[in-house]
Amino acid sequence: MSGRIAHLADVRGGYALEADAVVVGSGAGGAMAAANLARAGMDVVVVEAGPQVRPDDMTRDGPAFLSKYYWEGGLRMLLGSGAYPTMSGRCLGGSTVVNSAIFFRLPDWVRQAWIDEAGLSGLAGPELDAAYDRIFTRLKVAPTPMHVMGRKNLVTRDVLDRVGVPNKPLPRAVDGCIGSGDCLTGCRQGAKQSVDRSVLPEAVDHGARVMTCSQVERILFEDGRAVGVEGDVVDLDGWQKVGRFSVRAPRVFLAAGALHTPVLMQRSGVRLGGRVGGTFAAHISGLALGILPDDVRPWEGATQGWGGFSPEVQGLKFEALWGPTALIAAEWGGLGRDLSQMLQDVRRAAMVVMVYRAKTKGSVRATRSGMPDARLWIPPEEIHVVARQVHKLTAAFLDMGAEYVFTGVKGLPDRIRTIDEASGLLSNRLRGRHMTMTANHVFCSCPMDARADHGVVDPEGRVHGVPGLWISDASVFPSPSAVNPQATVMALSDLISRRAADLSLLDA
Amino acid sequence: MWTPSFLTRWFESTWRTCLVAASEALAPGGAATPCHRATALAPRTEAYIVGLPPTQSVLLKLLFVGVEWLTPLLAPIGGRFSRRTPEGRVAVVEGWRGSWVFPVRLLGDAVRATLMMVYFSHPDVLLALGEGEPGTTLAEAG
Ligand SMILES: Cc1cc2nc3c(=O)[nH]c(=O)nc-3n(C[C@H](O)[C@H](O)[C@H](O)COP(=O)(O)OP(=O)(O)OC[C@H]3O[C@@H](n4cnc5c(N)ncnc54)[C@H](O)[C@@H]3O)c2cc1C
Ligand code: SF4
Repeated sequence: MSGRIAHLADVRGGYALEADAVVVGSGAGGAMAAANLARAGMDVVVVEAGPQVRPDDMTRDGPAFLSKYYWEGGLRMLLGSGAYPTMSGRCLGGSTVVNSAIFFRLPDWVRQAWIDEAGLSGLAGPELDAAYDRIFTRLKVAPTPMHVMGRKNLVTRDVLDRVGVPNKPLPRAVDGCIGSGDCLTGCRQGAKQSVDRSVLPEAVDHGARVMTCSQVERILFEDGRAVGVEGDVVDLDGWQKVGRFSVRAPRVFLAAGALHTPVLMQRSGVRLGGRVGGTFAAHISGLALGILPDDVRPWEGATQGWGGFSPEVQGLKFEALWGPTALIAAEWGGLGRDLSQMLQDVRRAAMVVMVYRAKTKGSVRATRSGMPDARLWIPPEEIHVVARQVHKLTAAFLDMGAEYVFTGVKGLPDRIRTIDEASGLLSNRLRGRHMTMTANHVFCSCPMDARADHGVVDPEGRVHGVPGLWISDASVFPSPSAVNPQATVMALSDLISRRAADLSLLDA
Repeated sequence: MWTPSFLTRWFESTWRTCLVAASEALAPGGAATPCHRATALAPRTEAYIVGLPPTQSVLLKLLFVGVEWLTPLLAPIGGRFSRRTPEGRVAVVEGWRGSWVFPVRLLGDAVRATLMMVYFSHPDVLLALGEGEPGTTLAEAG
């Protein structure tokens, strides 16, 4: 059987298909599930809301790219204790097309917490390690080589040395990276091993049919059992409906990401007593951007090539970052006459960011238009943890001769020139609403838990009490991963879909 | 007078007027700095806003309508946003960005972010930064 990728022209007007399994979403989790189920001999249909992005469609024009290939034009916000942008890809391959390809295994202490707190004893065995091994080999994960670092990544090394954080090149899933620094607007080089290039082709080779521009609206049920999905065929921009579709299949795998999967469940009447979307978490973040005495040319070099873990705060990680300059400038920089100064400063800029596994509270609810309304509350003490680390980074930049440092923290000068001017970072009055942060690592909205009355899915990814329905994306994390999540999303999806494929073979 | 079609016309012209006024003020240009005219800042931002998904598009239009009409309330001396001098408009946005009142600060941040994002994606601006020069990628640079 040979599969294929169907584009807008193929699906316009609508369609009705039948299959052994339907996978909703083609990102990290969905692609992995589709490949395994197809390899097991199942007739698989993948439905993806976004279009395929080809290298020619990729542009360094950040706003233009975001408005087309990110959900809600890249302008989605988490509200709660502040307003935090949260981005995810709306295209074949999902967020893996627009991410920085950093790959980490789950740290042992988080893995142990998942085993202890959610009863996931199966994660103690060698299966999870084997899943990581398979994925790391298949996606060619390796430390970022020195020749594509660019100066911005090396500045991060120097900053982290000064603050006493052990650091090294970040492991990434790339093959032939030239250090163009364009990861967040797609890899025109074709080097990034996003799942549309690395995993979905395998699913298609094994017969999977991949339907793009197909946005699922709800899950279909018969006698309490999931039997398929239906939704709208949407145009390339994602909001004009140009047809209806349905896919009937006895196995439904949801992998629409931590924000959309709970929305689909809620809109289909699956709420499990408020547990679906009743929890939600995201890594929180902070930044320090220093203007050094000489050129950095931060747009050169791998988008995120260097980083390290805090030895003093568990679950806090530092990384170099430069995205499209337009996106960085949206947060930082002068207006009016100050703009000229900023234009001269950009080439001397380098930025170090943090991701932190804070204890937060959150929820996801469906809006009337079917989009997620996600909330995140960050307790002040967790904000203080981040702010203190920003203070250290600021001091390190100033020590290195930075003319000034921008932190995005409200109430502080936009240009911090002396460490005294950064003293507000040590204040206990800082709150979430004072921080500039982006939360792109989102999870835990349909957590995995062995206890039916605690979680949404069981340790095999099956939705508690709803036969025929699985979840295999970042929603199922019992708690934040403390590291970049893609590898773990893929590893869990690998385990879930392997198990499901075996069970189904036994069924047949 | 307040018919739906009048309101629509008023809304559409108000956000565009404010957008043009904000573009002129926030990116006046300078010796080596491309100005709002050279970077077609207002028309490009307008195209960006119109091209967004409907909800985000309406929200950004509302943002500019809000800026136009909240200015006399939040920064009383000087009238509507578009009637102020360019320096006055920058002062309004900067003032809001520094405010301790969260929604006011969001207003200032959102106007600034929208315009700066579009400004910094213009090829002439990237060239002025040095980004457009040959040798942009490390491989090209050898
Ligand atoms: C800018 C950015 C940078 C990041 N950098 C890294 C990194 O370097 N390393 C890392 O480990 N992680 C990174 N992440 C996070 C990582 O990409 C995600 O954790 C991971 O992709 C999540 O996988 P997922 O399958 O849950 O969701 P996604 O990969 O987002 O896939 C979900 C898919 O479902 C589709 N979908 C949603 N709703 C529907 C619907 N109703 N019908 C049909 N399809 C639907 C979406 O369009 C999307 O394709 C980054 C994320 C972003 C946004
Ligand atoms: S840095 Fe450039 S070449 Fe390397 S993976 Fe990212 S987009 Fe591709």
